[in-house]
Amino acid sequence: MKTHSTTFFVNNKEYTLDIPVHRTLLQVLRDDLSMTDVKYGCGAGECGACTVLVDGDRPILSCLTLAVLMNGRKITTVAGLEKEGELHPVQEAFVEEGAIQCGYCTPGMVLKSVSILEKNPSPTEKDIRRGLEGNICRCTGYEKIVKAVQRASIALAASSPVKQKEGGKV
Amino acid sequence: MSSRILPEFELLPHDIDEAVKMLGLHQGKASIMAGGTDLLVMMGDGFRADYVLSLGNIPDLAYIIEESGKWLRIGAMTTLAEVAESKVVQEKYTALWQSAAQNGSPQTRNMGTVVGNLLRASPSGDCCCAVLALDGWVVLEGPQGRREVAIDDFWLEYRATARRPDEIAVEVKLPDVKGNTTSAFRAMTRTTLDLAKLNAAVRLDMSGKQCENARVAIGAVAPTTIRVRKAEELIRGKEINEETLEEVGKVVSTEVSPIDDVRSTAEYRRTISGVLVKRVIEEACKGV
Amino acid sequence: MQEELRVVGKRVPVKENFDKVQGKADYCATITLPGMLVGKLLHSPHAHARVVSVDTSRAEGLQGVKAVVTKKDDPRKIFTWNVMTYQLPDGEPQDQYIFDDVVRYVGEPVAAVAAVNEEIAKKAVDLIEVEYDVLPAVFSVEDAVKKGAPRVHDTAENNIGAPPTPVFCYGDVEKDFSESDTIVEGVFSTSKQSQAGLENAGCVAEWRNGRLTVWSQAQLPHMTKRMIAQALDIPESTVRVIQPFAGTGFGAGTDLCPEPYACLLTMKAGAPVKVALTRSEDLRMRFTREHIVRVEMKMGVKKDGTPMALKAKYTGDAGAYMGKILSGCGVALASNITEYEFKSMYQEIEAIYTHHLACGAMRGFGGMQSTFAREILVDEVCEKIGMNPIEFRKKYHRGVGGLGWFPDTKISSCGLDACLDVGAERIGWKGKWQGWGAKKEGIRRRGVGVAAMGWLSGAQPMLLEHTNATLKFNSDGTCTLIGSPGLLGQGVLAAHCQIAAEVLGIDYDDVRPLTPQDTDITGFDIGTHASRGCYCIGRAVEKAAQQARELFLERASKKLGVAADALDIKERRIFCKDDPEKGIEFREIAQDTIYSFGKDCRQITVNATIEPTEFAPPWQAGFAEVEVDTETGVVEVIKMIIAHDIGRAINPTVVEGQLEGGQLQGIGFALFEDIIISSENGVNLTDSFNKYKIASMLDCPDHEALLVELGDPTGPFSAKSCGESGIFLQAPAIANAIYDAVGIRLRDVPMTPERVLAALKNKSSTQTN
Repeated sequence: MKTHSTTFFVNNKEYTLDIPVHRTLLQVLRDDLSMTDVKYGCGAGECGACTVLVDGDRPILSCLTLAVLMNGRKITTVAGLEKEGELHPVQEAFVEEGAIQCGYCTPGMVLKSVSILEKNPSPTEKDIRRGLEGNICRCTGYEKIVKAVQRASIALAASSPVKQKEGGKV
Repeated sequence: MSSRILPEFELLPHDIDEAVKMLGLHQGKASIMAGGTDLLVMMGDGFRADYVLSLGNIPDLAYIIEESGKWLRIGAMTTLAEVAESKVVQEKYTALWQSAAQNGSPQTRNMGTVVGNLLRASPSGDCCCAVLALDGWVVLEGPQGRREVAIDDFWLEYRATARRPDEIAVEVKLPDVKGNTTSAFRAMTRTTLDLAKLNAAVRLDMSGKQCENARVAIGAVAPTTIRVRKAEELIRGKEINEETLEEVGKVVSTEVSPIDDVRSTAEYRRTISGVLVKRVIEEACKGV
Repeated sequence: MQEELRVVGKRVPVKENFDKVQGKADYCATITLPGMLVGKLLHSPHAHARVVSVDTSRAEGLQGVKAVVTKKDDPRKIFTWNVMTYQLPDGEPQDQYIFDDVVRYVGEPVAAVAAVNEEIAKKAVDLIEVEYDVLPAVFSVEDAVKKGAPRVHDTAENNIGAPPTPVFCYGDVEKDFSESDTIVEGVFSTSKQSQAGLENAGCVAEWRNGRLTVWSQAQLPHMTKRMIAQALDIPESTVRVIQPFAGTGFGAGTDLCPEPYACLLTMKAGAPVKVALTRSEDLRMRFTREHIVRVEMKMGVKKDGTPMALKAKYTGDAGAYMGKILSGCGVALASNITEYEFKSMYQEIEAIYTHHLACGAMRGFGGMQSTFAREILVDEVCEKIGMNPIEFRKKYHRGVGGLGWFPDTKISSCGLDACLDVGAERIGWKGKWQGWGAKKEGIRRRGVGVAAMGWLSGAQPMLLEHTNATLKFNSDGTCTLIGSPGLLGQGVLAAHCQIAAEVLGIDYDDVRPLTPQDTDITGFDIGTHASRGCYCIGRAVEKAAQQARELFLERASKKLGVAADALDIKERRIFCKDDPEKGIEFREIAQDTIYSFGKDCRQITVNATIEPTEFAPPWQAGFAEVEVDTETGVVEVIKMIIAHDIGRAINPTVVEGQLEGGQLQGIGFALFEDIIISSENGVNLTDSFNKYKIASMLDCPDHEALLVELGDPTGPFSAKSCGESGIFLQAPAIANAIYDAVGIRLRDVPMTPERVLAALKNKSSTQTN
């Protein structure tokens, strides 16, 4: 089996692994590194449950990414959003608005929402819906998720600009 | 457990000349991967390739370059998202812009590429439809250097292209458009996040209300995306009005050979093909 | 609804969501045990075949493979995945083996492998050689009952799982039809929807020292435990079911799925085994929505609308096994009784075997299908007699004291009139509905439609709905709430905690629900189905809290020297009603129960059992506004409103969440969701999210769920149910709105553009003829 030595960061921690070429980032995170906060939903890029952020704010599907191609990259999973025991404002908003039911899509949904707000701190409802189009939630009917992102946007705007930048970038 | 296992394979080197050599060596057993949104799905379904060339490892393949008066060039690693965010594409190559912006989800747009879409050669590929209407060319690099294939000659049959096994598609280029050229694209899907049950794109070179030249492409109605030449002839040199559109609508349904699948029926596709083309033309006309 | 409430009715956050939002909650998909193996299934590629031989030698020879199981390992005990069967005294049909000699649908497991990792397990599965004797198969109920059709089960002649059987009939329908002024009828078909939760079916099983522990997505954990024991032919006490959070539900957890295979594997391998299905496997193998493939319904009314007679027949396409098709058809029938005051009703059900994937249950169980047919026919009746469709519904729905679903049951409350008013107002019915036969012009035409329904809050007294809830108190005045609803994310644990806190006069934060749940700890409970979680389990929680409250008051009474009935508890403090200054902290009493030092130590743990008898129907009105593109047949839902009679919302955020989620699944059911199985070879053509579509955020119309809170005399804090209710009215309201827009009556779900366009064509050709 062909393996490549690969070094990447997950939630600011460095990992160097010998990874078989055919393994996806999802498999490596979940199975090899026990990061089960990343979820498998379809394995074919159709549900968004496995979304992680690369290099800060670029959302990708870990199920369709070869782990060996992540050399040198910085990956953020939902477990990496918390800062000093405090939930990220997006996470807080999801809990407050009741935007979570079974919670299985939530990690991907939260990360994608973070990336939306990174790019556009005050998105319109349409921006939010377009931005979250690829994250399927079977439970909520999405209304409360939209409200949660709107709430987080307001919360982030209320915090100081400096803090906002730090809070968002991981 | 991540429950979807890819077959084992090896990655090919990152140097383009070296890679081309290796492709020649492993003919039939090697695949080329850009964003991975198609290839890795296929491999998860059991498609085997012993060698994979990841274009992500080859530098300088992500670009959108406008050579004024000549071409718009889009590199093989330029993502759909980058195309969708490009002002030039949005303003001058609207059909392509629409096909990229509606393609898949934000995440797959961040990974998938226009060139990958063309290479996949799916009859329902959204970018395929737009590039066919926009008269694109695929630039291939092989052992003998570069060659360019007109999009009209690129798809040979269902899922088969003119790319030779030892060639890499490095770029798609679109001829420059003048101010009087307009284009549009539309797809019909079951839900927004779905492959097209039908899609269509047009490019119109207008002179006032008169259409000087037209390219009409339609997808998911034949083994490859096709041009509807009879429809093009109908509007060429004519004013686009209700009457011509009515005729176009009629002729399109006689030019298609759709099938039944889970997304739609042959009958529906045939019936609606004319309506869709009509609407795309109307939309393009608004852009003049 | 007078009393002042501090916790009930508040939008408090659901406690487990803090874990979920950080990705820290446990699911079957996340659980890892030391030495855990990975199990993979080998599925039949044939819809019908005799399994001649299974050669596992090459698979067993692969390094890393720890166990391979086939029909040789099956204890051959007949059972069913449908664990709900234990809720009926005589049960539902049982016709499955873990591995049988015959496979009856494409995707049915033939063997399973446990290996040290997933890749080896998959390789091993590919190395198993099966010799099949392929047999002819049937793929529709029409073909299945034909003379000489291939038999799905030897025991079922003509593939009849259940012959047409009349149930809960009353009056003389033929007489009442003859006295009716207007009669309408139709034949309707509905789709095979998949629950399609984001977490695929999965479980972990561990056989250790004679005990079998199963981590399952079960919605009915105690009966899941019993069924696993039955299938494996081991004593029930050997089995323990643990419920981590489930990333799915909507009925999926009322059936077994990978559990039997994981259990056989762990028993053979002697190590824990996880079997987690891929999306494709989940769609091919998990029992789908009850597939009531045909509803024939006929309705007669007087000139003024007075409902006279209703006749209906529900035909279930059982698929390969009976699963829940009979109860599904039964619920279609029973739920149909309660809506309108028909003088007489005759309804029957039948079930036919085919070589399709079998049916379990999905949200809106059975009622989806009868509601669709009935509410469209009501619309037709209204047009014929020239009546406003809202008026008809207001005038002729059953009310308090009226006939319930089941014989001898009565309606305990009804807020439908208010629902119809509130919903009509919000959609703007007055301006938008222009009367019957209003002329609409243009390529895109808009229309509005209305539909109504009444559902239930638990299936008592028809089904066993035995429920237990336990409160176990800690020395700091907090308590653990021990119950076992399914942990599907429905938010019911929050409601339970609110009920307990309200009764006890303590804070929401003081009540902590037990998660994961464990049948070794929890008392018997049916679990989550039939929209029972808040109402039934909530009543048990309320009762337990009341009993605990009395114990605390008794103890405080001794401390304070005041009679217990003179005391009250509010905001964590026990005090004299007449002299509020005199009192003691709740926490102090709790402390004293545990650290009493020889005086009166007592662990206060209270269990309450209930077996409710009322079914407390919630009611709902649904309104759709649509725009139909007459050139393409595309139906765009502009607005969808449901107004729901909840009794009281214990937690409005949770209730809205249930209803909103149901709405979008209902829109999927109405417009695009459908499992399509090839009629040539039985292959499931929709075994990915690429093929089987569920709504994304952009497929969401403007939709809203409005709450009507008029109370119910039987519910906990007068609450009724909301779990399933969100999903019913989209299909009929949209169908009626399409009629209002373009004048076509659709009888088949999903109402795809293909069907709409065909109906439009049909209409114009009959008009020109």
